[in-house]
Amino acid sequence: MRKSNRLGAQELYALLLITVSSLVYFSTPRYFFLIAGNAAWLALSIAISVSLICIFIVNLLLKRRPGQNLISLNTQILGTWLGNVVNMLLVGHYVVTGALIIRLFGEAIVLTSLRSLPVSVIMITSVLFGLYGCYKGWNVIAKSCWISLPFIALSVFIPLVLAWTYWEPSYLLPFFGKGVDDTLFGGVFAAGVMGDIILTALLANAVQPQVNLMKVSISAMIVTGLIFMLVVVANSMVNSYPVAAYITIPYFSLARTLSFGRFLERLESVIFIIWVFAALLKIAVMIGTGIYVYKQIFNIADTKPLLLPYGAILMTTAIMPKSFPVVDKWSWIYMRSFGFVITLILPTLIALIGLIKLRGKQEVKAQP
Amino acid sequence: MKGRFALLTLLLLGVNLLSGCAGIGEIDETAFVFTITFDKGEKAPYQIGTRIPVPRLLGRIQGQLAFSGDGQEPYINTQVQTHSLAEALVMTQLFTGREVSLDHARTIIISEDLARESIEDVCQPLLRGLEIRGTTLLYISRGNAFRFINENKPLLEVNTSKFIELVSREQNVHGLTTAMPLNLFYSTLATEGAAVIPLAAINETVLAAAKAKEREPTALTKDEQADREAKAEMSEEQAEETGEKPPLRSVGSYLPGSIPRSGGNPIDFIGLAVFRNDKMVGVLDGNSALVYNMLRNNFHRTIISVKMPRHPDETVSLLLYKGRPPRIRVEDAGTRYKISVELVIDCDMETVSTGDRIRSVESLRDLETAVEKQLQQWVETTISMTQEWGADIFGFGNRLRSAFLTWDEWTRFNWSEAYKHAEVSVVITANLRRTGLIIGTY
Amino acid sequence: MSVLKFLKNLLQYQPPKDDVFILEEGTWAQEAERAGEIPPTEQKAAAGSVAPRTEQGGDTGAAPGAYNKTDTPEDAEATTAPQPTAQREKRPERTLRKPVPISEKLTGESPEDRIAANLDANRSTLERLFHKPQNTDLVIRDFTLQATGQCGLLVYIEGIVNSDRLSYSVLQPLMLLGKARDTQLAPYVIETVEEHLMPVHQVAIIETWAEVIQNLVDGLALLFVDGDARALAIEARNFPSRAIGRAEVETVVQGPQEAFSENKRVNVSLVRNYLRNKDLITESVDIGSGNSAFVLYIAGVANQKLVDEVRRRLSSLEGSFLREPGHIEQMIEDHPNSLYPQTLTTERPDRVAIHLMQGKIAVILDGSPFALIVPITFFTLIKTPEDSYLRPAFGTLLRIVRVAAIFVAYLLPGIYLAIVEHHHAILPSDLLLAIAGSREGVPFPCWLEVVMMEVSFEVIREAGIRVPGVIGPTLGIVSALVLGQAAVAAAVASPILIIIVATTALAAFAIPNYQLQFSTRIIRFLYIAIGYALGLYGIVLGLAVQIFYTTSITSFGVGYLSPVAPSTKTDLDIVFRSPLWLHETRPDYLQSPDRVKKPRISRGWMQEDNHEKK
Repeated sequence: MRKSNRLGAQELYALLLITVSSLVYFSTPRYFFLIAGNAAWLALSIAISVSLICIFIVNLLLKRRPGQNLISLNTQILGTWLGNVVNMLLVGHYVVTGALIIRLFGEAIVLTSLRSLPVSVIMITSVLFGLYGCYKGWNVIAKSCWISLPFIALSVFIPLVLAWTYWEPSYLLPFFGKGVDDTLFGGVFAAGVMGDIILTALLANAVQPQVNLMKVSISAMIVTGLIFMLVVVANSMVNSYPVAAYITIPYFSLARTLSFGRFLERLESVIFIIWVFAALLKIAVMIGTGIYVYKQIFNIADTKPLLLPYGAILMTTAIMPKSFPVVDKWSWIYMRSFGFVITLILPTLIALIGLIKLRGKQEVKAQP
Repeated sequence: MKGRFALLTLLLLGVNLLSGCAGIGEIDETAFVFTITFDKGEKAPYQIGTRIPVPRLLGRIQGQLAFSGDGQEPYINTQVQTHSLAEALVMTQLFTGREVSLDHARTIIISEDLARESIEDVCQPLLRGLEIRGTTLLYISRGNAFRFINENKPLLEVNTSKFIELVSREQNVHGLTTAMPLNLFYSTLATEGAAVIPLAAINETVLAAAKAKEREPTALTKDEQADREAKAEMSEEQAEETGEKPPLRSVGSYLPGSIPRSGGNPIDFIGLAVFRNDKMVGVLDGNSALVYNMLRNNFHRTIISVKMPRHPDETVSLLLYKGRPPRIRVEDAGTRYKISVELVIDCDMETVSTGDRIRSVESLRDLETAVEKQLQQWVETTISMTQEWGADIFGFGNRLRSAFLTWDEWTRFNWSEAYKHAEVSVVITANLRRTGLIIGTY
Repeated sequence: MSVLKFLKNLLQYQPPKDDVFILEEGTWAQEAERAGEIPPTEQKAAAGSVAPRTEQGGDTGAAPGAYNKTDTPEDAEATTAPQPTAQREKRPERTLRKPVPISEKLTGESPEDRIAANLDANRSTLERLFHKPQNTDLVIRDFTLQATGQCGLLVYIEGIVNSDRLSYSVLQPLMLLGKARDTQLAPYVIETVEEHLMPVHQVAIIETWAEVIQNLVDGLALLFVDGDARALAIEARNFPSRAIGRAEVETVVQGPQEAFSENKRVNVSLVRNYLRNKDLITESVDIGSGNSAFVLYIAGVANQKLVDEVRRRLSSLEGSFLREPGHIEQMIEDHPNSLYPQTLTTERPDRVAIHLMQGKIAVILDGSPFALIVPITFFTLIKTPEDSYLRPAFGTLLRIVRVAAIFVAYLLPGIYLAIVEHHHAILPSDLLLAIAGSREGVPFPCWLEVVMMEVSFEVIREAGIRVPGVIGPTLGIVSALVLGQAAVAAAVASPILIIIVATTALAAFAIPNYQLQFSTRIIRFLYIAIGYALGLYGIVLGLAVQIFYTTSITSFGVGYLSPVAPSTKTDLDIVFRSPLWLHETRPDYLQSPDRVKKPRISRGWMQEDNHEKK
């Protein structure tokens, strides 16, 4: 990691946006159909609001303690032992989600375009790529995110909007989908899908001091929510509920349905390129975050020796599940249970405790 | 350390990349299927036919060298009997010598008798596989589907894939059929319980004339003979179905295979096959297809002919185009549901036979009324036919979704049954906008 | 607790010192912030290593010492904790004794290194130093000084001095002027000659043999006078040089046509022609082996830190033949192993002037018609001077074409191979048939075909450059015929592939920077390999690695993709160009002390117009 440069507001924004929203390219949007039937968009909006509330509370704490991140705050608020246990939970979370994402990514590539390739090839190359990104440091990853942001935004909006000829708005009804309880509670737990937004809190000390974290993270979250919403809504209008719930990669199949005349038909290849790019960036971020948290817990100056072992751990974890449906199922179960608790509920609770503890005390000046 | 790391990375990458090369299928070692046909099989559930272009011949036609003219057909049509498409590909591969790929399958043609049994088993495996795209066009062939592709010899195109794309786009011009991609069909069927697929058939008279012209011994096989007889019967039946024969027969009143013509490609694309819950339940002629397009807001323009209001023996041809999107309301009227349809259609005059004197704006109003009457009749008959089948192909049921709060309630409500007894009211407004370059007749 | 601490100490080893020069990046606001409270660098350290170590305090001694002894003194100072006892004194560095060339040897303080007062001794020393009997170039001219009657020697190297000047401006006054035999002047003869008898614009008094050698090989003439232990160096340089010619490499349609020549003095004057500015500094920096480079910058516009860094890097160079910008470039780049050029080599004085005005630094060398400009960004390489001479829309169009060309040049064959091998579904059916049809009968697999054609194209290009000018066109025709027509006719290559390769080659030529062209030529083969192995996924993977790499490298401390990532405040002049009158500030990434390039309203007539209306 370069010593002088910290992340600017734009780079952080791009990093957050791509990290959270690139889940849209995997089978994630499907889960909302499983939860709430054709009211997937309702469940999704609940999930978005839950994660917005969580990130708002965490940011309140970060504002009180500038120059510190969630990891150091955990130890300060909960004490060294308990705080580090929570931090280790975060590391574990990033190992698991990183592995899941890598596997899902590999499977998605094999499913959508490279049938003849063994999935391990794609997984190894993507892990190596992620390690390369970590070797170069946060700055490089964030800058690359910023460069690729316009292309990725374009690729998200083009297929969804171009599919409007197939839109049938009445497919969004009946309003409550599978029922009020399912939609509401399912929606709350599904906020785990957006859990990666906690990256703001983890990177808070790697950001330039004048960046308004609250503004950046909330706006990134809202835009991410819009992207998710667009994909889910478009999907439920084009494919309709019972079909949409069983399409493995909804975004890709949506892109495949596009056809404008005889030439603008095979657009999915262009979108595929950008899709893979966003997913690769996400993998780099997932690996980087895990190592970053680990590094800070044990106060390691140089992370480079950690890279290969960490990659090996991810790879072995990722290769363990037997098949794609197993990975898919587990990623869903994990995201709405452990992922939800570790990335959203725990930090929010700690932030609340911290806010109460800090009440009345003088604001702590940032450590240099 | 750095060097060792780099070496390790390179090694890992190298091993990986090499294994990546293993499953590569070169473009000139692959046979691309353009058309797939499904027929009922004798030894197995299906007879699956494929049409594979010969790139050596087709590619060169488009390239610099002319068709070498060694007499070989530019397409290979093959048929195998098996129980699934994947098996069929393997079987085809056994004698093709190349890897058979469905990446470029543009059309799927299903024979009518298979469709009348069940289409679910045909459709779902298609969607699951990666190779077939959702945009693949579906057609129902009256009679044998494999025979249909054998006889399909487009005259203007060399590429049948392009031909079928153009055919599917033509519905924008005449509206007498529709284009139904696989994914749209499947999702409509799954959501609404009813859907349509365009109809196609061999025009036997044209084919026979062409065969006679070739001066070949017109020894029809038993299959063909039977097919032809069935055809003839069918068209007679159809005539009975549509009720009393109108003295003026519009283009849309024909079913594929019975259009009176000669010369050209001996196949017709007109009309729709109606599906209800994975079974084909009936056929609609071109006019009903027009109604379908209008009610689905998929209508662009068409040409119809109406009798002159004051001179019943003369006709006027009018260009119809979309005025406004259709307004459809479905209401719960106590015991039964009430469907009200409002259509606004614009029209231009195309050809007018002499005799009538169209000079005043009032006489134009008469024409409009004639168009309205004609359309009204078509809409009403079409809807009542679908009501008989219980197949709501127009998506009327979607209007009722807002009345339900949850998915369970909605699925418990049996719309297709209610649709059978629904009351339909149709209001058509036709506006004659232009009369062409000559504003009146003498 | 102690387990944690043990692990902490175990893993806490000092990374190698990251000795990278970084020109600070950031927006204006950040700059203000920095000026106020935050030290400019070392912010990252706050993340982990420094702060927690203070808690640790003096316990360090108990931990395994092996990991602590690498602590550098600076780090120890940074912590407030007592210093670890195990700290070792820093050992003095061992200096390596290297054989020193004779010219340097002579600069020592011993008396024999100085010029002798005896003319004969000087003559024999000169003859020894310049291998006189064998080397015929050294000319030693004896004469008698008219003014004092002393004997004198005029020494020079034949061919690189202006003999007319020596005859008329040097020998003539010395031999003819002055009162005869004025012996009083004898002790001050050199000064007298310098002040009264030498109508030459530049002279200097020198005292050591090292200077003598340096001046003689530089083309100066030397005057020795009997009885004086000094010599007078007389400017009489006349190295053969080319006239100022037209720009050959960076041609433009509209704009100045002149280019640098091989004389660095002339080159500097060409730049001064564009920049009539008192602050334009031409600094001479010794780059070893008697060569020196001119470093050009505008004081108060270029960042002083940057100037110091360039000077530091240049003056540290040692090498036998550093005469070309190409040599210097390789020696001073941040990332010499990178495939991207990190300096801009240009032959156009107007381009140098434009960059100097932005706050960049130019290096001009003797003997090369090219100047080096540092620092640059990737976007500098896709610009040509012509872009700014044309209206913004035209300039923008040109650059969009170039950006597209860059992508094509890098990716097209790779993407073609990826699609043909892996993604048949992407092609429209007609195109698929055309490709498949044209591949029928080609005996090679696709990848071999691509590699073969690419290699043969490289051969054509190399042959085209090396071939004598007269048969150049013939070569073009032959290669086009052989590779295009015959290869297709013989079914060795498919026509579609020929189109692909030709388009790629054209695209590479559309890149304005010669060195960037090279990078496309090498990286293209990597894309071919990875596209073949992993299809489009591989292409994207490669692209992502390339983007990571590009964002990570720097040119003299400036991020390579600078105005975009890291995003800094800048005028719109990256790919899209705003009108000229909106270019008000210098690029933020150059950290120029004088940010504002011109006033807000640079089209005064617009303002006057408004006044009149009112």
